[in-house]
Amino acid sequence: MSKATPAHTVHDRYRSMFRHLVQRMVLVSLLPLVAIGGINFYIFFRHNRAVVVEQHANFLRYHRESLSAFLNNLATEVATLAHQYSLAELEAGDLERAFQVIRQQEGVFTDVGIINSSGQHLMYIGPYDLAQRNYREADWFKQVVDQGLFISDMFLGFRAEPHFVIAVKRVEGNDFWILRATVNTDYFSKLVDAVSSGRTGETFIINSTGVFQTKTRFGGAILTPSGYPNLAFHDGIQVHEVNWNGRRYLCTATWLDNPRWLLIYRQEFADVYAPLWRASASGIALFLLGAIVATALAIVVARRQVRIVHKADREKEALTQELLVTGRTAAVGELSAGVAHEINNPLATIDTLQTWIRDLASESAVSAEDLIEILDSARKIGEQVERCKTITLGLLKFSRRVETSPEEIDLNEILEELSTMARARARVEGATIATELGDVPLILASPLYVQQIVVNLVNNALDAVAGRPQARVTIRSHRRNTAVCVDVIDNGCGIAPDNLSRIFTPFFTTKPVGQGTGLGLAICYGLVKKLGGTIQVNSTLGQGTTFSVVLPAVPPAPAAEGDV
Amino acid sequence: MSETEQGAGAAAGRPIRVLLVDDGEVFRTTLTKVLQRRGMLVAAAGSGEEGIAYLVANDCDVVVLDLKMPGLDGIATLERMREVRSTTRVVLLTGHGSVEAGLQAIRGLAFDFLHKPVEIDWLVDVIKAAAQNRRELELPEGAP
Repeated sequence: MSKATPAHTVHDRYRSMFRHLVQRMVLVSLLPLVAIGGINFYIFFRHNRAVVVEQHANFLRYHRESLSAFLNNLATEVATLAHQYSLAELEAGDLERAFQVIRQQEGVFTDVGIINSSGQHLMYIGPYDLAQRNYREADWFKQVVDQGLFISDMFLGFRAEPHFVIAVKRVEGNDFWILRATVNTDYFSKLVDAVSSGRTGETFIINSTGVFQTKTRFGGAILTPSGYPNLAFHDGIQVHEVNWNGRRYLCTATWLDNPRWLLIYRQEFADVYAPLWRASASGIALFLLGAIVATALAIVVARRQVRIVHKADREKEALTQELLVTGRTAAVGELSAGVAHEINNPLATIDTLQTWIRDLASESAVSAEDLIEILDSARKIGEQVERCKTITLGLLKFSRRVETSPEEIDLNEILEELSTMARARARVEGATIATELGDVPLILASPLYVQQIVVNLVNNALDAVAGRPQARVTIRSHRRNTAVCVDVIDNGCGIAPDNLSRIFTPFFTTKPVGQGTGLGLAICYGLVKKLGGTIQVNSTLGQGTTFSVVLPAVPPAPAAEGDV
Repeated sequence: MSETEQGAGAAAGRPIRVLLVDDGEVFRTTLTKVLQRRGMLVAAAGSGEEGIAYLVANDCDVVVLDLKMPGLDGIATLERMREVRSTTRVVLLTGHGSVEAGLQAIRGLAFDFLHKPVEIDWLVDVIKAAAQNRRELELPEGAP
């Protein structure tokens, strides 16, 4: 019976068992799924990245060619203009005409100007007021004087707006002059970023010091430092992963020849892999479905398992109950050996007495003396019958205890009954049973269980003292704080220290085969636990053993008004 | 019937000498009277020690011995008696049959083994058979 164990504890135990089972089964079934999914995804990811990088590289390679060609064309156009006409012709109006043609056609150039060898602006056609400017100190001026043809980086200049120039040196006689054209920044930026893919893909240019040369759509103003980390020159195409403002980008980069600009195509990672995520969605959905199915299966299986365990527990409980009954039968059987002797002896006496009565009565003449003896014998028969009755009554009382549910009981009453029975057995064994019953409070326990605990202990004690001089077993009850203590003390053979730790183990016995089941103390232990008590043993080899059972007393009733 | 038995006992020459050892006083005294009435010479002892002391001093054909007694118990008494009087037959009586006691009987130490309560006629028959057994064994020695 699990009465001693609170029901909710048992319930919790099965619940946690169920939870653990489910967790483990889900884990076991999902781990391979996760592993395979993860590996697949990784392979897929790697493959996808390679494909994307290849696409970007191809695009960039093509784009570099077209941009190089574009810049080349511009330079050629400016150079052609400078070499076709003399300074005088240009000043006379050819420059304006030629520029109109170029500008209207393409919208590529913002303005054009002629600067003499001392840096003075000779002629300017364009929207800005730059005619009187002197460029002697400008970097591009020095470069073009040096190189003959120069394409500058993006700079602010006198107009204070980002632009870059293509300048050509024309030598005429002993002097030279410079034809300079400014490229339309918006036009160029749009041209660079003409082709993009995805949501965040964009193309831009930085110079050799990492400064933006074109406008960007997603962060990075023109002429501000880009922060791009890989500025070393390289041939071909390089791929890097770069963080910008907390976002991760896949960057493909390649260097232009003239000017030395780095053409970069960048795209946010999340964007790059968006198709991958979309493709993975079905996989993830499949995984989730698998997880749901696995969890559902785990729940079904776990529920079944817990039910099986629950059933097994119930069967075990029933078995324990059966064992208790068997143990009880065995204990009663052991005691009944004494009972048989106690009844057979008076019966033998009665039989002899009745034979004697018949002997006397069968004489031809019954004398007065004989009659007295007959009556005396009849009285003795009565005495013997009384003796038998005492024994059978005790046995009946003893075996009538069948209640397993707890009730308030007087421990001493049970000990009294029990010692009557035990004395019968003790007489046969040549031992004495002493009782020292103290004033003890009531206990809340099953009388049957209490009886069985003590009977087992007393039987063991009688076994221990068998054949020893002054064999004596004492049953003692006393109060211990709020608990009740029963001691069963014998002066028997004692328990070997090696065996002390094993005596409560089921099937452990030192008795000869066929005499001890090894269950008595195991049952005692189980019952004491069930009653919420403790059992202790003290033993000295050769001197005796004391078993002490402590059982909780009934808590004093608060203000029991009816009681007197 | 008891008359003829008594006659048979007397016919064998001398009455059967019985020693009754039992700690139950009423049983002992009554059985003594019952057996005496059946022509036997009966001595009674209340303990194993008393019984052995009697045997040391007196010969006896059959001992009726209770197995469970305080002090020296039946088995020990039986063994001592066999040492004192090897030809005296012992009939064991017991209130509860135990395997051990049965084995002792089979080992030949006891002539027979009876459970209490035993029918008196049966006990008398067993005592007679035991006495007969002892005399048959002793006859060849005394015959010539």
